Amino acid sequence: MKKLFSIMLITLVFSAVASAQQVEKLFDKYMEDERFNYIYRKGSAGSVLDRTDLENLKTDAFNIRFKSDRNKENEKMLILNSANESFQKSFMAEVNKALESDKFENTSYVRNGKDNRVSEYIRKSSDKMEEVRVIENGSGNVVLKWELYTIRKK
Amino acid sequence: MNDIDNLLEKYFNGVSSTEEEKRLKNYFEGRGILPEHEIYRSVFAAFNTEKQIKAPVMTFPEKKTRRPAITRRIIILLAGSAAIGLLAVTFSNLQYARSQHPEYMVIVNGKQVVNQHKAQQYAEHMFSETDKIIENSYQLFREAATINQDLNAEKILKETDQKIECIKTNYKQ
Amino acid sequence: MNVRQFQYQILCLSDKSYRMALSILKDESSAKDALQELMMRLWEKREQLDAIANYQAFVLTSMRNLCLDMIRKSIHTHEIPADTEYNAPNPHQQTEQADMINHIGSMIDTLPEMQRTILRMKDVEEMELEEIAQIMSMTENAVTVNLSRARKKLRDMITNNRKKENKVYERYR
Repeated sequence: MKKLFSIMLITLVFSAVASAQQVEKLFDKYMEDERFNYIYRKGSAGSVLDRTDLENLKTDAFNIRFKSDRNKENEKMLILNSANESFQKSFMAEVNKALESDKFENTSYVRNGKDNRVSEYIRKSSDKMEEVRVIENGSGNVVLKWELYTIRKK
Repeated sequence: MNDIDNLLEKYFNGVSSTEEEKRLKNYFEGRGILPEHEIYRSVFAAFNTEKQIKAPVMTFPEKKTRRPAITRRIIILLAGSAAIGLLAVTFSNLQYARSQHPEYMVIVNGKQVVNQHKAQQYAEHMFSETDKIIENSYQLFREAATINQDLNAEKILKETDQKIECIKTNYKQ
Repeated sequence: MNVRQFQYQILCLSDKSYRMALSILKDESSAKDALQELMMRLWEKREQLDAIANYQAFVLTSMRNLCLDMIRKSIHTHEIPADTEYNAPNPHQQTEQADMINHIGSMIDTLPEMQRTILRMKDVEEMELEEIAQIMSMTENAVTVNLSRARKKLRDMITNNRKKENKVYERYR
């Protein structure tokens, strides 16, 4: 009985951990698919101050960037190139399901024109933060971007 | 002078090139300014004057303590021998050091881009383009926010009240 | 980034940064504070500055954000409401070209922040459209539109000022 219980517990924990990585699994699933382009960049902290970082400066002068409490560890993108409508729809459904399953919080959603959408999602824990952005346009292109940050200990 | 009039029209429409603006500046710095253009001379002169404004001098709190001569010699000696040892260590650590810099993996339509340099170029370009799209998508909101700030009714009314108060006070005097 | 690099890459941008602060804050002592604050922070973080592609854009963007933050946080804003008319001084007192140049500066100061910042970046600092767009987080098209508006408003202010002058002179004939 005890054995069964502990097996069940381990399975439960394992599946909980595993199911919290649905978005990452999407990357693994499609990275070598010929309908997609996959890009991964691993960066050391503060190695590249790109436009996004300049944008962060706007919020609170330097506090976000320099007194920042986070380091960007790595980021990756999956780009679906001009697929047919049905595959775009089914891929978006997979993305949305994965985001929901991983308990990402939708922080913003912008719609430009009829078909262009940019959505942002965040998931935080005590020592890390993940940001996901989903960009769709009407021509069958989808960009799924994921960034991993670690929270700096004060 | 038709040429200057054309340049001026482009200038006020914001579509003059850098070269054309230089020509306008040269014209307004010279002597042969036509009467109908006199009115703009001070504008270009003002730009020139503003450009002469210099920043105040600043100092930085980096402390420079002069070490005594003997200590400096010892340090130089130690540094020299350490340098040789460091070189050896550096070469062996080169592989490790590389892993600290950005690494890239790019797969295009199922085929991995093996050339690291090309992969880096493609990756940087795509991340940059995506950031632009994200940024531009929020542009309207930022513009709206700026408009809201400039047209803050409460702020404008408050300042108008202050102006009226000021006029009233001055009038009484 | 060592001291010398900091001097050549960052400190050399002091003049432009200071002029930008002066334009946005319209007050010399606030502009000095802003410059000191900016340079101190950049100095403290100099090790992280190595990977910046365009120092000028980075420093000027940072300065602008810092100034806008200072305005937001201060109780008394120096921002004049957008519909303020420029009140020219009595033309009888306006004897020197130097006065007129100062007045051009004051006229520019009555423009909304976005327009005057863009105008000065283009006409005083002679920067390229692309870089201005990057600093202002706008498209080049939006920069062109604002630049045109600013220049045309300035032209209107000068023209109106001249008309007022002529009226006064007419009266005294």
